[in-house]
Amino acid sequence: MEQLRTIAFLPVVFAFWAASALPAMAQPTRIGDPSDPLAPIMPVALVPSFKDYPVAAVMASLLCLVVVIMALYGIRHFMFTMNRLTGVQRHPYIDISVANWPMITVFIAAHNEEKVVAGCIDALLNTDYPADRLKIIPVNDRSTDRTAEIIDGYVARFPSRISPFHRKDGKAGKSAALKDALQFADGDIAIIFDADYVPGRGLLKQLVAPFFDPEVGSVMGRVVPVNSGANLLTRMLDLERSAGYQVDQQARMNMNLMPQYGGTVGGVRLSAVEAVGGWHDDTLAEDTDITYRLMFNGWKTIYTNRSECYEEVPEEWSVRIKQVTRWAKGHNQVMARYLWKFATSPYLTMGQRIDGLLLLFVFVIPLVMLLGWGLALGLYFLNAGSLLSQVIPIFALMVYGTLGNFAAFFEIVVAVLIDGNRKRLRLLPFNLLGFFVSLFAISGAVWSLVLDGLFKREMVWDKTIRYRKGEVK
Amino acid sequence: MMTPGYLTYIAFALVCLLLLTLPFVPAFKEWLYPTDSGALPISPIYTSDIDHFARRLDADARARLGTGSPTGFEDFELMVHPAGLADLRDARKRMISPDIQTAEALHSAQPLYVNGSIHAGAGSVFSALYATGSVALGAQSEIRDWGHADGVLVLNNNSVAMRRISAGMAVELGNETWFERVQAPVVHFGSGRAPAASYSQEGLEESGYGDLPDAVMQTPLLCIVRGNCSLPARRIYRGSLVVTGFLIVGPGTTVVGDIKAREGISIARGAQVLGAVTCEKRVYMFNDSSVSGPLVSEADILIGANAVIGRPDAPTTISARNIIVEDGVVAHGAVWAHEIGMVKAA
Repeated sequence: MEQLRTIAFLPVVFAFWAASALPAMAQPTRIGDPSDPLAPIMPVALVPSFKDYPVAAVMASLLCLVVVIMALYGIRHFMFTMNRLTGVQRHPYIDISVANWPMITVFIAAHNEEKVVAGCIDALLNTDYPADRLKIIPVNDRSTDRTAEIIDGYVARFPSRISPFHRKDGKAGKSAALKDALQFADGDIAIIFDADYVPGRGLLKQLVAPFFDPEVGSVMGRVVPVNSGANLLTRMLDLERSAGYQVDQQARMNMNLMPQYGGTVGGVRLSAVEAVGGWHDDTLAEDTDITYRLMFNGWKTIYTNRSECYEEVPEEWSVRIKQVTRWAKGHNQVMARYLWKFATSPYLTMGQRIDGLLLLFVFVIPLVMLLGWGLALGLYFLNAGSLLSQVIPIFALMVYGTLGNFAAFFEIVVAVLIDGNRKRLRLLPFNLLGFFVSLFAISGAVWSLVLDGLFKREMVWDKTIRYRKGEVK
Repeated sequence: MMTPGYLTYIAFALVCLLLLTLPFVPAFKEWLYPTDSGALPISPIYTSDIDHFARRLDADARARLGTGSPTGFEDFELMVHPAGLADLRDARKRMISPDIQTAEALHSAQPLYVNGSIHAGAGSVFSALYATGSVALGAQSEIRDWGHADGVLVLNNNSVAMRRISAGMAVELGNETWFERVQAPVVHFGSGRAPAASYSQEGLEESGYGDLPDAVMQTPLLCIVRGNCSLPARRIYRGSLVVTGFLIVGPGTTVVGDIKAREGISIARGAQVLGAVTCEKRVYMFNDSSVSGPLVSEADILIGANAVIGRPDAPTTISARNIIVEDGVVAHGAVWAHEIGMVKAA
């Protein structure tokens, strides 16, 4: 921990140095002859007035706003982390081990998944959920590899348990495929896995148990990278995932805020989905879309941290960038659609509303941060006076606080320690690299989304590549 | 020409850069020579079965007795006569014993596998106990880790059953017994044996949630009420109900569906819920009431005398931080008190 404290302290030192030392190197502005060393130095106001420096004043005001926004996100991360350390941990439905289990349908979203789909089906056949209450529907979405053949092989062996859905045409994308497949569901609960997931024996019961609460519209389990050791990227993503689930999601659950349904290792109540407008296939983030619609219509999403399931994370930066871009575009699409409805919903508590709104803007923040950097640099070159030494250090601190101390350091550290790992925390400084990549990928995605809207372009679903070479047991 | 001031700044910048790069040294080492890169372990066979440890002991004991497959953990002390107090006291490893019938108090720090039934006197203490038949322990007995009987497991008054207690047929916990996690097809609490409750829906007035104040129908089968809600006596409601405040189910009223309330639930005498009951705060079940689905509270559950939870053909789960049950309560399935559970004499 001592080493971490040192790591955490250094960028602050650097930021303060950058903010205070660099302006000092600049030549002071003198009244009259600039070359006269005896000429009086122009007094510089703490804050540039709108009258004298309109551009600088507007920029400074915007920068202050950015600082406030960054501070809000920093506080949010800090609260989540402290909650995981000291708060009451809620797992209200995890004890339901015996019950009259309802009929459920498990969907396996599969598009060219020949490497992994068999592992997922095998795991589901081995689950302890009553076989007569479980229908498995592998959704073969226009696969061009051996996915259909593998699925049909299982259907031949387990005809009463597996009902395949082979989709040969129609709109591309997981949400569109699932929308078509959902009409074949039996029962009111649909559990959804991606084909690369390998559910454990007791996972289905854990995911279904919260649905005994009639207020629950969707349930989300925890996703754990199975290929975490493949390379530096996967190791960094492993740290990120830990923080996202072990701290963020569970803290939201503890604080009765807004856990997110993530589209896989989770499920939805079909009558609830129907009640809030049905499954949407015109979005790149159907999971976020359904989370928000359920929430502002009075339903709850439950996160079950102990319902863990392996997934693959991207092993190549190009794939990772595509993934982040898709998330960012889909998430911002949801923001544009539901911001007002969410902000004015009568069903939400104050905490849920604030958390939901902060979450809604989370994929805009990198752009805001870039704007903040631009403003800080611009103010510097505009020589906006001593304001620089006031705002830039604060901005630097907030940027660092948001990406570093609280999010990338504090949150990840706590999550990984709760998971019982220690040595992998040495990789933490590299997360700066991941942060910068995401920063520009997300900013690009926001810009692309704006262009999509302007030019009425259709958004394209980019499937995440699979890397598995052998079966995961 | 550089002034000393500039040199100071450059030196300071170099020192800062050096300090900034230092954390990357262990990072690079961990990247190039990974010491901790494995996936977080998830057991593919993980379940929350209560008899997990009992099954493992049973498998090991059967292997030792030659009636099961080898497990690799077959190191037991095999008794040819019923284990007595001295045998148990001196045991250094797990024990296998035939039927034990004694009036004296037995104490065992080692797990005991009884190939048959065990009946022991008041004040007996076991760490872990398995019986292929039944278990009956006298008053003020204690099972500290887990206990399982393939038949019936009985703990008499003032006993303590921390951790896991399970049985293949039934568990009977006497008055003033403390428990944590209990599971069996039928669990009897207290000394009384309530007659099987008969709930008739005859004479109940059909009612709809739409008539309740502030009710909003979320779906044709789910209603949400913002604020407190009271269902009148002797009515029958069909569909599920969510209440953001406190919910009272009136005496003799039947709800065919699930109910949930955030601030608390009171199920009055003779009322029944044919579905699940979930609550973020305290749940009160009054005498002779019944719930057929899971009964879950994030706080406490108080169950009045002769109440019934679950059905013989549809066992269920009761879960709360603290659970207090009165004499004569019957539960079918699992009862899980996270902090403490207690049987209270009527």
